[in-house]
Amino acid sequence: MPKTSKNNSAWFTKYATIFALAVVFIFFVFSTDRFRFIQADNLLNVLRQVSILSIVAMGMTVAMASGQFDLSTGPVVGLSCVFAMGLVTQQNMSPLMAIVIILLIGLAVGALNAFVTTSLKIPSIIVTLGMQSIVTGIIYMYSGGKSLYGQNPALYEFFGQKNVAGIPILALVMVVFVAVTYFILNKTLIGRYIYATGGNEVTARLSGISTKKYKYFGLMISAAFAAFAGILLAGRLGSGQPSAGDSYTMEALSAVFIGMTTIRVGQSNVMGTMVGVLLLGIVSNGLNLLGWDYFFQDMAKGIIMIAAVAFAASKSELKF
Amino acid sequence: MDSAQFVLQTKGVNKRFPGVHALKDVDFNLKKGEIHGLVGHNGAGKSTLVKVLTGVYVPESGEIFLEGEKVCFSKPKDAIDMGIGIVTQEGTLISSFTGIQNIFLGQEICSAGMVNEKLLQQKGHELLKKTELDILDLNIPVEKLSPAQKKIIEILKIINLDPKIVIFDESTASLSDKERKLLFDIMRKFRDRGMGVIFITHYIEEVLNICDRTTVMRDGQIVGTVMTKDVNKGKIVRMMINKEQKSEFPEYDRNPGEVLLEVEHFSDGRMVKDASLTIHKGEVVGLFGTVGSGRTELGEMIFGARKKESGKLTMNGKEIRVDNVKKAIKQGMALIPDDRLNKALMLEEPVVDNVTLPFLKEYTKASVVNRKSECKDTQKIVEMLDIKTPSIFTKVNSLSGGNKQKVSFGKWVTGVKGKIDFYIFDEPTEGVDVGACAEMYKIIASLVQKGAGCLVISSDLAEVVGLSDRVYIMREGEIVAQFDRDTDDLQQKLISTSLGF
Repeated sequence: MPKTSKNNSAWFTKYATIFALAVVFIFFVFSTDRFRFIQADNLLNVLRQVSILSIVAMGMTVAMASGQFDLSTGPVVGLSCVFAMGLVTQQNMSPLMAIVIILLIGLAVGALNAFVTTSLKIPSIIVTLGMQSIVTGIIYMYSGGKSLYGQNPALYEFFGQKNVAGIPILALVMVVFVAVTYFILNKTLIGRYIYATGGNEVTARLSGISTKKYKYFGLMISAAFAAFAGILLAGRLGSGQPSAGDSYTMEALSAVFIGMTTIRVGQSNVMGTMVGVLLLGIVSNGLNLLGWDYFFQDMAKGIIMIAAVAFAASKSELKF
Repeated sequence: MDSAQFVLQTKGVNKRFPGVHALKDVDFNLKKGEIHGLVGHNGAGKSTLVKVLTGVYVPESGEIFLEGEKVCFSKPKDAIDMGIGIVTQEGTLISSFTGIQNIFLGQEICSAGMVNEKLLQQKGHELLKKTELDILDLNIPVEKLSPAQKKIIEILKIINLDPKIVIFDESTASLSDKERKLLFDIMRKFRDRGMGVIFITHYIEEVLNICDRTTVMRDGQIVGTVMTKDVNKGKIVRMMINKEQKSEFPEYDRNPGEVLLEVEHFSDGRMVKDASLTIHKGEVVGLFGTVGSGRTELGEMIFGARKKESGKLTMNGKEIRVDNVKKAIKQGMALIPDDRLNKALMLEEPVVDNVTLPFLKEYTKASVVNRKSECKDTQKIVEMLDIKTPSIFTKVNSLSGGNKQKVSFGKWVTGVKGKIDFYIFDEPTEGVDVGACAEMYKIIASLVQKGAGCLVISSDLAEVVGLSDRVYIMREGEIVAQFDRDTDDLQQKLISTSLGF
């Protein structure tokens, strides 16, 4: 029946990106030398590589669900990475204290983004672009542009480098963040109000929802998650790198956009974002194993993001 | 009549939108060298006809003849190329561009790949001289100009294309008396030069004043075309009214109870100036007025969705402060807004997420949504209102207009969750087919029978008359009159009062 075939094609469109992920995975299984890609140590390596990005991307997913862009996440990751090391080694704080302070800074950045966005009615894409620059400036002011080295505190090392039963703690932390974000966005009142705010703000307002509150929520979660990711990054690297966060804004944004092509098409969603994160992570790792230069990896990632979005848009499942 | 004298003619033009037959077999003609008025109440089909004539809409059937030759417009450019120009209500100028840049947009003259500014300047001023218009600075951004000056720029833009036909769509709406006179002078000049001019307006006096012939539309049809000198206001207004009362309005025992809500001296300093009204329990109160009269804004102010500068609100004898929607809902108010696509619905979300949004909190325990009970209630609501949807998980976007509106109703009217005593319906049946209209009316009737008060904002005359126990008329931000249901010649009085005579 024609109707079924139409449903089938809609179904395929909805899951095309996941299908593409599977194809890419299988391709690397067979194309890498002696199945190098699928070896346990390499897969754990992929997990380690994507876990920090996925935490940043989770925050971004929440912000985008509330209808707000957050372009300041990358620098917040970097700021947090530098502070995590610096506060401990230079200001002699306890690691725990440093973590608390960094998370507060993250929340403050998010709140400031939200304040300017909602009270001064400036689109978040502009506000957070400015914030990106401001935070970058603070990073260099604090670090003097130099990497901060020192004894990696045990707490950081635990989260950043240790394994439990052969599984990186980083990956476990990622699972927790993904699960919590999924729960909030899909099962709670807050999640529904966030989607309502992002879906149609006027409708949400006329239904008695304080949309301002949920924009604050989106942008504050985004910045706080980025701050937490920065601490993990410091633990993983064992140092504070001023430029360590730079790539996260665009990578996380790409993952969210790829995610919008699947599961809950047209809206940023947790599982979709994870598909995006894994796609980017696997392509990066696989091409690396194949001996491609990093600049080709960047190009490939860009092409994948545009292709995924273009495909969904061409099937008019995704509208801009 | 000899068809050669017509510069423009349509035969049997039909245009449908989902749920609405917007143009029904329209036969319209325009002579060379005449100003032709086109009137009708909101939704009569004037705008749709104009959009067909200017290539914005392609009609399903029917023919258009330009100087006796059959033409087909598939896009606006086709109509422009054939010499049909339009001065729209909102204007189509790029506000940061200068007059010259706007006039010659898409018609720039280039030499050696560069825009020949000098020639454009010269041509622009020639146009000004040719039309004998006031001297106007064509080299400042048009956003710095007055509304009338902007209109002149638009007119110059059209004249530059040397059109056969010029359409003025509600062009006088934002102009002062003096500016209107100027515009009329321009229209007369066009006529004297042998062009065909179509003038669409809400103001009947203007039609009587300037038009040679007038066509009246109603419900997508042409009621008649008359020589303007042979008619008066009353005659035109009578043509605008639908004599047959639609039978779809539910009959019930109308006996409003005590006062439910009192709105006193509401004002926002802009759209609403001084509005007071009273609604009783079990009463349907109509609020009638043209688009832009401030009716939607008044509704939103009562509901706390729009800031007010002054005004007092009393419900059940107690003064209440409602400065946000949350408080309004808590007091038992609901607003079912106009423009459901932009205000009432989350199009990319399923039916269930839309329906339960206002009272979602009642489905939660420790902030976690109980999806099961939410879905159960939504299923119930879908059945109660007979919403035609493949499932409650279907995106609202894919439903028909009538069913979308039912979803918008379903958020508030079923009483499954939340207790509402006062409803504001803004254009409840806009773009909804006849069958669904009747269902909406039944819903409203059942609400008042249960003792709720309803304020129905509408520009559909038959609807206001058929539903309301009382009708308030709003004009230019003020409530100017009220009529009871059994007033003689109610329709005629509503139209003439809302238009200001």
